[in-house]
Amino acid sequence: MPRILVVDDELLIRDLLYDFFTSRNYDIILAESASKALEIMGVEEVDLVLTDLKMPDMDGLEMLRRANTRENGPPVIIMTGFPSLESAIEALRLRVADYIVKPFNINRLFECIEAVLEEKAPVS
Amino acid sequence: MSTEKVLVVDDELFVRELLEEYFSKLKFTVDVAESGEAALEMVGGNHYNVALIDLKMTGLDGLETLKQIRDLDSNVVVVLMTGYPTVESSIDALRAGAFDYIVKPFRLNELKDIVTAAIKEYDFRREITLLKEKVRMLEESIRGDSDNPDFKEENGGSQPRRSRLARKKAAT
Repeated sequence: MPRILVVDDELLIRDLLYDFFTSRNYDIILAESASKALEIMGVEEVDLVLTDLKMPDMDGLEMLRRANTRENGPPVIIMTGFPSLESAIEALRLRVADYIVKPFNINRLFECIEAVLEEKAPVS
Repeated sequence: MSTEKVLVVDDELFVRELLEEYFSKLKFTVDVAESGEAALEMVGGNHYNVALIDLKMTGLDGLETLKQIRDLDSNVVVVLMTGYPTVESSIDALRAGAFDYIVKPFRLNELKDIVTAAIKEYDFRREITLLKEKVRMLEESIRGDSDNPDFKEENGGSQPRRSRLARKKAAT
């Protein structure tokens, strides 16, 4: 069962993603802040991180830098309601797998996640 | 002398000449292409470490050139350059697997640092490719052995196991 860490300060988004993905047999861990997500990443193995960019305690990109996901971490998908050239370029440099603009179609997000997890899977 | 090869793809002659001169002085081997189509012809027969590709070109654009180059040689590390940056094209570049996206005009030093990092990435990708190839060959060799009846016997295959002496007798 793939395990996804969802990081978003909006309860509505966390609830929506939790319901959608648990009903599709995903194991979902929720974090309401970037610092909480860093704590979780320190102790839990996750297959993918799905994170918001703009959060009160810490920017999602700063969180990824601190977790060093680029060198040594699970694949990451960013979701943001405030897309910008700077954050997209920084996301590219941090080797983020996808950058999705809110509001998004949840089925499209599901496809992205499936594609990223499939790519991550070891060659059989 | 360095053997790293850089391919510069830009429809502007000035940019091609500038980057060719700059990276040649840094002891890189530099080839230039004035279009995406010309670049694809060159990638087939050469092993480039890094391709510096302009995003907005007539004919094949930078993103499409990136995708087709990666189909020909998945190890080539691609840096996109553009004077017309947009959120959409930077997201497309991220999804297509560009190593970097640099906005013109840029400082040559900045590009040099990106190319240096890109070469490290190339070495890493090359190592991964070689390891995958080794794993594939090992798997093939194991599969080949498992088709061999003796292998099946020795590894609990479907045929009844015989003693070493019985196998020796059967072989003579």
